Amino acid sequence: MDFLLQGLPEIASIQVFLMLSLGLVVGILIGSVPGLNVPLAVAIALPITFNVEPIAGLAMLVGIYKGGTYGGSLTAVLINVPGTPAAAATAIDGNELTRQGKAGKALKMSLYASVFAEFVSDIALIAFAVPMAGFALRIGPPESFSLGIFALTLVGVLSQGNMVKGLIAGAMGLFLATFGVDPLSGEFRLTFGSRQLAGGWSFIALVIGVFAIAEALGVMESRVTRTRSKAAPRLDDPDNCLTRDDWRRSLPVIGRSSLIGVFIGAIPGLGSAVSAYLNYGLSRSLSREPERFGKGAIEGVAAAEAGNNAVTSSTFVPLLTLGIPGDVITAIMLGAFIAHGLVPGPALFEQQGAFVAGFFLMILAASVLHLVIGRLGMYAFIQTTRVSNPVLFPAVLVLGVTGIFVSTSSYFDIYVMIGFGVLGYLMNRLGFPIAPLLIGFILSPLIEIGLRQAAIMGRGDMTILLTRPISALFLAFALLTVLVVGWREYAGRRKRTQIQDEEPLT
Amino acid sequence: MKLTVKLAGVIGALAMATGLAAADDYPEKPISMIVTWNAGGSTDVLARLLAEPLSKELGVPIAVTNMPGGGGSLGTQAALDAPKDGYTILATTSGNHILTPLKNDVGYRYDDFEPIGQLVAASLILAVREDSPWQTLDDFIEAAKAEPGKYLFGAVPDVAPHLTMRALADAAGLDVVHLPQQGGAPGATALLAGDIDLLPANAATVASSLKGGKMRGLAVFSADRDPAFPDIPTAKEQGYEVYGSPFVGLAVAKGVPDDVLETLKAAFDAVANDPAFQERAVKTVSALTYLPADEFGKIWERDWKTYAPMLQK
Amino acid sequence: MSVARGLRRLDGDGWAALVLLGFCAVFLFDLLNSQATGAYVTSVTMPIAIVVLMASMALVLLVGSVLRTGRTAPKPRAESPSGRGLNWRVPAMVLWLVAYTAALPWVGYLLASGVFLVGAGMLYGNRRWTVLLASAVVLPGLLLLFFEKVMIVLLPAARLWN
Repeated sequence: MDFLLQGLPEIASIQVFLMLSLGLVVGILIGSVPGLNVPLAVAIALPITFNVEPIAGLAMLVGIYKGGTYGGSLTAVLINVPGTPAAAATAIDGNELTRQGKAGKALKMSLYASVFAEFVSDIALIAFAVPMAGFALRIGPPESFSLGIFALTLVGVLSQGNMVKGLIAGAMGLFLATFGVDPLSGEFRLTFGSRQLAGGWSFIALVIGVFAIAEALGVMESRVTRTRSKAAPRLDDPDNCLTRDDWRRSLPVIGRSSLIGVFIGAIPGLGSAVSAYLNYGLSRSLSREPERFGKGAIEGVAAAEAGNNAVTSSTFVPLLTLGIPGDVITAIMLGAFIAHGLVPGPALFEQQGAFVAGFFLMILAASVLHLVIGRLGMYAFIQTTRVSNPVLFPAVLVLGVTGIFVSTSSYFDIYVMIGFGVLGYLMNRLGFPIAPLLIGFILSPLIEIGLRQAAIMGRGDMTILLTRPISALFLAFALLTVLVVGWREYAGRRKRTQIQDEEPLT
Repeated sequence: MKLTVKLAGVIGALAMATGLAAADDYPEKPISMIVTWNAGGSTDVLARLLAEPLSKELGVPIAVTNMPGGGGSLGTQAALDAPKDGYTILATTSGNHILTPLKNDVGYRYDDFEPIGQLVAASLILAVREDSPWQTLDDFIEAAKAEPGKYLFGAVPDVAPHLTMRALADAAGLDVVHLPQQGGAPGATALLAGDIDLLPANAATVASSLKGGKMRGLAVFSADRDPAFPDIPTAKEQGYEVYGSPFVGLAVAKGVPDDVLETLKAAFDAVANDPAFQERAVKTVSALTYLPADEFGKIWERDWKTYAPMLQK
Repeated sequence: MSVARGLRRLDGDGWAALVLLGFCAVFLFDLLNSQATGAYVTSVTMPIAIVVLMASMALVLLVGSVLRTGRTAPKPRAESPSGRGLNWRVPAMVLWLVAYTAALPWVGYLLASGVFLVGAGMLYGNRRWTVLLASAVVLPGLLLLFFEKVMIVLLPAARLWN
């Protein structure tokens, strides 16, 4: 506590709070718009931060980061178009609630779960940064591979009811990620002579395509898929309030997802999307009523949102304790630290205690402000339920095209986005789940690089995957998940065939 | 029909007029600076730092445009395809400018571009963990000779640190195993975690670990010691003439009018030699190693010749 | 039973499986003919494994589809899960998006986006000209201002004039 107090003078300024609030507002807006991503916003904001106090500059970047990670859930819930890849897991149940006229409920849960997870993450960073860094270093290539496989088995959970289609979607995602430059040899592969394809399929084009564009095409088939209210939606409407039952279902999920998310955040290179999906899948497979998921389960929203925001502070663990940035955003912040004459790493806490304490307090303040700004912003965002499809979706399409152009300046990537939009639309029509495609795409490099690096480390001896204890543990989890999911699928099919004996299976 | 012909004539005349005017009035509209790597990477941050004072110098906004992918080849190609009017400049690096075109069939060469100037030539440092038994380059070389194929080094495949390490291994007759990495930061993590024994890396990547005492530098692969790390001897001092120094600088496609090129060079020279900008760059990314256009061009040629035998198939 | 008749009786799943198998064949051919690099596990090991997995799953889907249609045939064309037929607006919108992208570098961001918004709004069934025109002017204008003036990111400029 004394340690934290010495940081008070560092952050006790109007400028810090202004920059923090500005960062949060910008972050939430950018996060909510499909096509505008957080790393880009942070990079663009970087020059601005040089003209203010270093702690205020960091405050703005932290605000954008936290706000942006949360903002994606707003559009995911309201119009089924996740603003960020991590929010795609939120959309599964969140948008279902909106269809049931309970948008406010989903929005509230996603904010509260996010902020709660952030606090857990803040406290973990402040109290346990050094031991967590020790844990993060034990996640080497074999562990990455095994963790990737474990996360992948949860795809099965996400596609319950039609395992074959889910597996195909997951395999498609894994495969699409292997186009372009081979990460381990630098050779081009699967480019079919196209120089554009040497860059692989753009991740952002894929995300916007299969979610935003596919949704925009899907709603054309009928003009009233979204329940629209003419009257202004009220957040204190009973349907929009969280009940005791909602909390009873969600609290344990939020707690677990926060803890797991904190650890995932501390490991360099995993990130919020992995955390969101892992926690969503885990909550679904551990739930006593898994059939609720995908049909508007409030605990599904809670798991995904707690999962993705729990990484936002623990991601500073490797930066502060080892001096190694875990992702693009912390890499930029490393620059901001050095600009202040600070050398992140083991010596930081001893030599620059006041500044570090100030940084910690600022992160805590960010979480408080996030709650306030997020709650106020909800009034504005829920009004999108009043905008009609013919006005809303053309705008979504223009934002998607603009977002791609801003991120990669590539017309090719815009066509790629349209192509993935058609793919997503067809998959929706034919009953293929989209989520496994995205998870596969995210996990593919983790699995492949982990496997190939582990093979080199073991000089061809693959038992390294089993002799390293954490790796073996993840593989055991994966096996367990396969067994549980397989059993449920088998039991579910038997039940269905008994009921629908006479009807054709479609 | 007549109207279209007339219209085409008018547009043609207009285009010619603006084309002629461009040389005198340059610059009169925003300039786009292509970065061939993702937003937030070290090249990107450096480019954004540079864009601010450079736009003041030229009097027009400079928009940093990220065009990542294909080992930097997509952005580099885009800079070649853009109109040759000086409104598209390329923040170019060893990777996209020299190494990628040598290794892969990308359709351009280093001399398709005109240099504007070099901003940074990073020092490469061979780092080990603090608890490593090796104190000097010779310690490591002895150990590696005693047990061929035992020690692992981490590096992104076929970029300067990897190629320099290969050159060292060839020069000393070593068998060390390459564990490919996804970037500088993952490599540093792997070294700290003990998954690899050695890390050849850009000074900026390992600076905080070196200063914090978690890593130790065995050698610098430059002609002279790095002023930021005066205690680390060069490889040459220890008897191995191995050099490697990835650059970052500005370039434009060949064919840009001469006076436009001169304007850009003058503006770049002014900014790169401005102490305020230098200080900001040192604090954020790395120390500047300014070189004027003609010398930067010679660096391209030198690196192209050095790496061609290692990369061309 | 001829192949053609079999194909005609295939439902959506069956067609999807066939298309997927075709893609798998192309990819597998490319992968088997490309040079493998890397020690122990090569650059093509995992892609090949994934393609094989995908192809076998597609086969399962195809067999399931054939058995199902065989059992219940002849039945009306399989309905999509949404229970609606293909709407001509969907392909029209895809073409309109392609046209928008193609036009961007030539006529510039403002004009292309404005025209696209009007057309897209109409495809969605919006017939109120005031709303259409307002959105066509306001949204691209705001985005252009935000990116070019605040963020200093350039959006496509018109190559035809300018």
